[in-house]
Amino acid sequence: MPERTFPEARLTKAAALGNVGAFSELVRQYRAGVLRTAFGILGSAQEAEDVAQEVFIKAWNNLPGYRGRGSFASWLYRIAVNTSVDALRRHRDDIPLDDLQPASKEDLEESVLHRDVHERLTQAIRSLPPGARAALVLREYEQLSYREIADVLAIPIGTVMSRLHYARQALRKKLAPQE
Amino acid sequence: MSHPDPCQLECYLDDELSDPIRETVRRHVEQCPPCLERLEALRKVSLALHRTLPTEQMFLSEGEFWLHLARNLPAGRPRTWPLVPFLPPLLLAMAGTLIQAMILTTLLGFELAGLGLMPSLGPTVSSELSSLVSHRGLQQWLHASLGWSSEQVAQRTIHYWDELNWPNQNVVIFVTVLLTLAVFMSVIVTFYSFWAMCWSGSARPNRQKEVWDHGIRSYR
Repeated sequence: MPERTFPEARLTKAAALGNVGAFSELVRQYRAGVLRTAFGILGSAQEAEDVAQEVFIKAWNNLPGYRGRGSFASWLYRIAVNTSVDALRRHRDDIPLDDLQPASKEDLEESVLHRDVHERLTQAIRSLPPGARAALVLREYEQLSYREIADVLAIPIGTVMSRLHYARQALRKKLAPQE
Repeated sequence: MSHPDPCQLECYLDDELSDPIRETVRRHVEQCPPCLERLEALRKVSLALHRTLPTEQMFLSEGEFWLHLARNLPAGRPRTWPLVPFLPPLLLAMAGTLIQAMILTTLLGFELAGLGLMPSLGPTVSSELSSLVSHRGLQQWLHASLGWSSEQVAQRTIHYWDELNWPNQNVVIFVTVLLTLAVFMSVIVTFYSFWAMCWSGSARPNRQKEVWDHGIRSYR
């Protein structure tokens, strides 16, 4: 029997009214995205997991105030980015540097070969200011458009472009000797 | 075409350019080795970043994540009443405005009276006071509660009223009008706040919680 899907607007409305089942469906849909975003900003799987839990608790508490202006995804990503940046500021020195892992076994082999590149990239990401890091993560990990990133970060599109440019230039410089 | 600027090249890579500009940039990059090199460098950064994408295995499974979350979800979600966060500044602003208006009116009453720019409103009130206190309902109330006749009250009030000089009479009239308006405004604001917190669309989650819970559960 095919799985029934409900319109997102109905799910958010039901969750806002206290329906835990509807909220669990929203969590199922957005868990991976929130985890990736938190991971990209924090660079630690454990931290990302904790932040993602915090994000969804905040979302649950604040859903009654969500009026459906803008997409739910943008609203949730905004909470994710803000919570991750707050966590980053709290635990700036506690995050292990080598927690960024490759995506698959093939990539693992490749990353062994390019361990130096990987470490320099990790360092470069961590040296980015939180705003630039958030823009880069939303673009590269979540594939959001510039307009969506602007909505999430509540900044003009021009600022999104300049943050991305700054972040990519910084990463490119770190990778340059390897090219 | 001249070389695209770095931001344009990044927009090209991110597929954020309009069709004609994208086509122009594409044609240029194909024929321009330096630009192609810049584009490849950007692609390398992007690819390197994708290698750092986290995998599912790095996190709790979907079920474990939800179980952990469900344990920590607050049982009673804090209810947010619309307008409540705005009430303290709203009331403060109203009180401030009222105080300012009273001070300004008092000063204005004195100044205009002193300059001879405002006629005295006192005699008008004196002439109306007798008819006001001779209102039947007021007469009955005064007699029942205080044992006074309306003539006594009128005489005493007019006596006190006439003892005031006319700029002060003006000020008393202005302040009384202002206070009446303030009471009227407060009644409107109270009704509006009550409506916003109980009947408006924003208050619906608080108002219809049980009904909605039931409705959604039935369709699931």
